[in-house]
Amino acid sequence: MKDEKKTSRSPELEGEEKREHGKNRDHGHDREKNREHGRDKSREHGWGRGFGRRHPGEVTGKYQLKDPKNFLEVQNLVVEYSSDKKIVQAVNGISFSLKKGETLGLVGETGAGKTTIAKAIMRILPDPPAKVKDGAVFVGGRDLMQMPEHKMLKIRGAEIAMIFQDPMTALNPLMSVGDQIMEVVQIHNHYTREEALEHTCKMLEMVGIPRSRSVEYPHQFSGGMKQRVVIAMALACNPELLLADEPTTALDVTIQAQVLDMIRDLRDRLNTSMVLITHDLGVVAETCDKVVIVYAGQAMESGARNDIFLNPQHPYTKGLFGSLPKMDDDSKRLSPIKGLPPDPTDLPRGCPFAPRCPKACEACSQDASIPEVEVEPGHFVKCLFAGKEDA
Amino acid sequence: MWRYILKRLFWLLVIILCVGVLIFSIMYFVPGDPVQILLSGESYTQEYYLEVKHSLGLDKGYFAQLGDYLYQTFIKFDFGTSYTSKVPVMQAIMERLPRTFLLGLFSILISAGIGIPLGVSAGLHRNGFQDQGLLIFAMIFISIPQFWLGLELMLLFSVKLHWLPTSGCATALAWIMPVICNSIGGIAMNARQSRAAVLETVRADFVTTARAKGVAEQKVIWKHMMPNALIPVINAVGNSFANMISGTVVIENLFAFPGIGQYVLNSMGSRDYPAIRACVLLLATFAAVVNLIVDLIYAHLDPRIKAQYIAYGARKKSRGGLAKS
Repeated sequence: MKDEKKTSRSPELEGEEKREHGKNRDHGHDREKNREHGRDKSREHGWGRGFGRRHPGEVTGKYQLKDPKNFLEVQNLVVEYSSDKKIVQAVNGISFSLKKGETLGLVGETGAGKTTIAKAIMRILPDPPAKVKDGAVFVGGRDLMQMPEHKMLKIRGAEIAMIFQDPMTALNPLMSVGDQIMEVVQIHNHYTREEALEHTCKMLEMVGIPRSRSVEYPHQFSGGMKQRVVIAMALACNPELLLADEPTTALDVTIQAQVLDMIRDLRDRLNTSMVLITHDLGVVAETCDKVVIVYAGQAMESGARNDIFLNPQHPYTKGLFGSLPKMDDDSKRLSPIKGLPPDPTDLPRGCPFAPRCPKACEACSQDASIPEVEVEPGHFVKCLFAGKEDA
Repeated sequence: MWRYILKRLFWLLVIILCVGVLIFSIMYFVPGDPVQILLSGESYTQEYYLEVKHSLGLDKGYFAQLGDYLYQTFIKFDFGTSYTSKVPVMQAIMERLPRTFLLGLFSILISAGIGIPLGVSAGLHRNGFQDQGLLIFAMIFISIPQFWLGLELMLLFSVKLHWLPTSGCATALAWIMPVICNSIGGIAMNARQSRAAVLETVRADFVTTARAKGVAEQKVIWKHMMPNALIPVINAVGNSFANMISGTVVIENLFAFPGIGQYVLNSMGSRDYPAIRACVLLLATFAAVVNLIVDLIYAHLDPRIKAQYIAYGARKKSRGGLAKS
């Protein structure tokens, strides 16, 4: 991790990207034309709107894989939701990377854009209203944003799988859990029905559910059991990349521990890379190799786990740690971060954290984006004060 | 499950019995003398009046008449003879019922067959032209009164164009306008309901799960989205069938369509008690049976509903077990 070279972005480069980004927004018109041309194609893939019709060509192939050793490399990802004339800037140029077998923690408050990032990687964002405006997602060297939909279908569920936040609603209430797991098995493998059924039962047993329950329906399972089913479904085709979107948020604490243990265990056994989305720093400390602190859809700080936990640089990261109770501290009160996350339809200029930042100065709210600074190898901080003085 | 069905059948009998008593009482206490109506237009003596009244059994007290009625209807299954036409009521109903039933069935099939696809396509293309168009038409269709639409149709197709007959049910052509009139509100209702149901499911988490599994879009729509969206809609359509049948009164009278609705209305006018009672009882039974069947189909399709029914039976069972031990 340490020797990984991520280019530190200079302000000029940022500016250039910004301009490119602006151009991309104008592509909307071209896109409408593309749609007209692509009518026949859309029939081929989907009758419904959005998913089949999406034209990956919208995001130009101007990005290159930076390090061939990276299994997952997300570069300058920009996602917007448009609703009633307002544009929600959910993800604003986030970049991170991950090697085979590593786990990366995406940490941030609710609404920071973490789930959107995961869904953008899988290309399952509902379009409209969501649109990937810019950026590239390299998985195993291929840019998923450039991939045609029919190839994407082969990747979803097989190479990349996702565990969803709320197990209560993530399962189809009208299908037995066995059928739901079997569906993904049959899509991605040339199994006979018996083989697929056997595989399904094995997956259920792996997550600790007796195979006899495969004929039961989601309403017959408890929340923790449902999450196990969701995990079994995600792991059914031995994915190389697992996107776990707050897999334990909807569960109570004891079940949380079990489910996390299970995910870790399965990850180690299958050598899966994992992106763990959470707002629980304790989980991150136990599970992750790398951490990206997300705020208003931007990476405020990223680096190896120990760099972040032992040497947090960004005021936001420090604020997050400040709001945790400490075992060795006698102080009666926690120090929360004051204020609320910014309105994503109207992000502040410059650093999005500036309005809440105790160290903010005028320069922070200037129009120019804040450059990312590499304070130590592999540890990036997006702050004007980074590495300049010790607070 | 069987326990549930038996329970429902038992309640069905209770309901029908109650409806019988209720309709008898209502007709008994409602002002209006069937004998007078029957004899109107001819001069009659007081003796003759009493004689007729006696022959119809209307000179007895309330409870005696009620007992008589319940005995004849529920024990001997004899629904009596019409006061006016002197034809057994059952015979008259059986002659008319198939027509009303078919009218209702066609209307339901058309309103579901057109309304649901329209709603689904609007839901899948939210804010598209299908959606905008549907919302406007649904509003118009829902607010048009049936009788007004019927009159306008008649004016256009019968009076001006001479394409369709104004009344009767003798030819297939005569059925067209009643069916259209009867189903237009249903089309709008079904379209709006299925649109709402689809919109709810489009964003459902399990649909995203299905996409994340690599299921192709067509299959996501037809295998995951549609069953979840449409089972409640189809359930509602089934339940509206009974309403549709009893709601044909307006249509049948408008188009002089010889069905149950027209029969009921005519019988009401002449206070033809046996005919009214038999019709109401029949429609109530019909509604209850259709409801039961629809519920059972719903349970068969949706495991959650089925679980409720089974749990319902199981709870009873366990309570019985406790009492024994």
